[in-house]
Amino acid sequence: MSTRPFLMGSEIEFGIAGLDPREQNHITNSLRLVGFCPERPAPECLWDYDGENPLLDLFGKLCDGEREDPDPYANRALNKVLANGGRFYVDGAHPEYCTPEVTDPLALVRYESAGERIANRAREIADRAVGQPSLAVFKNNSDGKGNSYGYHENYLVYRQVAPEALAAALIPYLVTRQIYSGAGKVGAENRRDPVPFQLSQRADFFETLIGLNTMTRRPLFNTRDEPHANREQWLRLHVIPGDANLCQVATFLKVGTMALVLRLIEDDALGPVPELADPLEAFRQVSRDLGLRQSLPLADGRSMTAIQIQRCYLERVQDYARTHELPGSFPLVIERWQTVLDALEGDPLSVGPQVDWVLKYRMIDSYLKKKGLDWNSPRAKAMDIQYHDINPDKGLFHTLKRRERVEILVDDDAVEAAQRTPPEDTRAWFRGACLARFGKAVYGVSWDSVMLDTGDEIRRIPTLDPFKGAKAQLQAVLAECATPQDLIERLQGG
Amino acid sequence: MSQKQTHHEQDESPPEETEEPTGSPAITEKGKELVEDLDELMDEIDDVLEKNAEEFVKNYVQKGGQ
Repeated sequence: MSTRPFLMGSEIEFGIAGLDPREQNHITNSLRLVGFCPERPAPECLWDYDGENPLLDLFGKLCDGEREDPDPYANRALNKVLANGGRFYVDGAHPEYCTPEVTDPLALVRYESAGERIANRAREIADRAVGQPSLAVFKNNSDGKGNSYGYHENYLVYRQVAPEALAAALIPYLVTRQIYSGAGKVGAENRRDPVPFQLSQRADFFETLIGLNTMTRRPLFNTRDEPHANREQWLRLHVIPGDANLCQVATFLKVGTMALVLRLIEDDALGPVPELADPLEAFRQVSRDLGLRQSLPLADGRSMTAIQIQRCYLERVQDYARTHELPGSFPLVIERWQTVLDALEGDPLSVGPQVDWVLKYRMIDSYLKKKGLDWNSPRAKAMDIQYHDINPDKGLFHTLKRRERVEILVDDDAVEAAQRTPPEDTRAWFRGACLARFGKAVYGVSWDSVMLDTGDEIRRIPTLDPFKGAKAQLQAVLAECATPQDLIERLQGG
Repeated sequence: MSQKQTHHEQDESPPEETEEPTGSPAITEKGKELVEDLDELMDEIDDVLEKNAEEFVKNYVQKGGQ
């Protein structure tokens, strides 16, 4: 039996620093960076906030807070709509990149890598404008001083799945997947007990199990209910406890395994999963267990290691794959999930080319030994931060990548192309194709709309079905339309 | 397993493992390659590192985000 398509995307909040100590206003620096964003076919294009409501909760509550609705001038300063169908913008005091919607984990890796490249090119152009290095941009999730910023994943899920069931089925998975998706961190934050090194950037910051907040008292299971799609049919699961990865294999596994687990939940094929006695405590415990040998207490009195819990999910997914034909790179996700878990069980430090926390730990450990330093040395923390610098000349991950210590899944040419071409199999294609074809006549876009300026009026084309607007469906139509008016008439006509 | 022993001396290292990894040969082989020659990259890494680690760490302060 073949399976219906998947849909996913990710959001990266970057750390940003002015190289001149006097230029440390994060909002100014972020605006400056996105202001130099390349790959914009319609530089004046607005972000269409009309369909957005991040204050609605999966359990039906409307929470306090202000909805965003900047005036057109501010809107353009904050938002850059990308040729690839993604978005580069200022979110609070951070630059943020959102991938376009994709159907496959390998495509997600490609578009996430493209976003790193776009942010780095914006930095280069910003530096050139002032004739010297002026900004540093980091793909990480914490400054080491108690301030965390997110990496969020988004997955389209059938709405008939009860949120309580979704949370219960996912939490043990989310708590334990950091063994391959943790980005690694020197030290502890947020008043947690000191530790030389831990697996996760984010584990110190999660204080509740289920909730809508993303800024304070962060929940393991986030209930934001903003589907950017037909609300009766879909919810968009907003996953916030993950780390941003630089290793492509880690990103691939993080989103690929998550999408598979969700599919099993939707199809009622996951079965019972181990229930952790204290998921928040377990999240921190796993993060601090570099040997991956500690047992996590379960609600029924038994205990399991993080690897055993991951294997439980893996086995269910493998069973499912025996009777369901999975598309694209999903079979590879399952294969690599197993091999990485096997390798982690044998020797956790053997997966450096695939897993960020291992690569970072190995690098810092080797350096400290060579220099006779210990983990309390400022050098250790400096290397931790510098690992994530997206500038290839400064970032330590990039140094290791250049010297072939990292496994690459998507080559540079494919990443290069993904900076300016949208994915072909989702509505992101239509968004990108309109931008490419009509340029400045695209007045605004959002995930679920494209607004066209016909010369007489602004017309909003809803794109509420994420799978409608693929290249195969609309390429011929778009090719026959010389103007936005033609397109609107064609779409209205059928 | 000699290389493992040389890298597992410190307290924070994972415990010694006596069994061979059962994982994919490709992955563990690449991992071993990394273990073997990370040391030789340390001079190159030294060239890239911020010279004043303390200052660099002190100055890296972010606003909390999502």
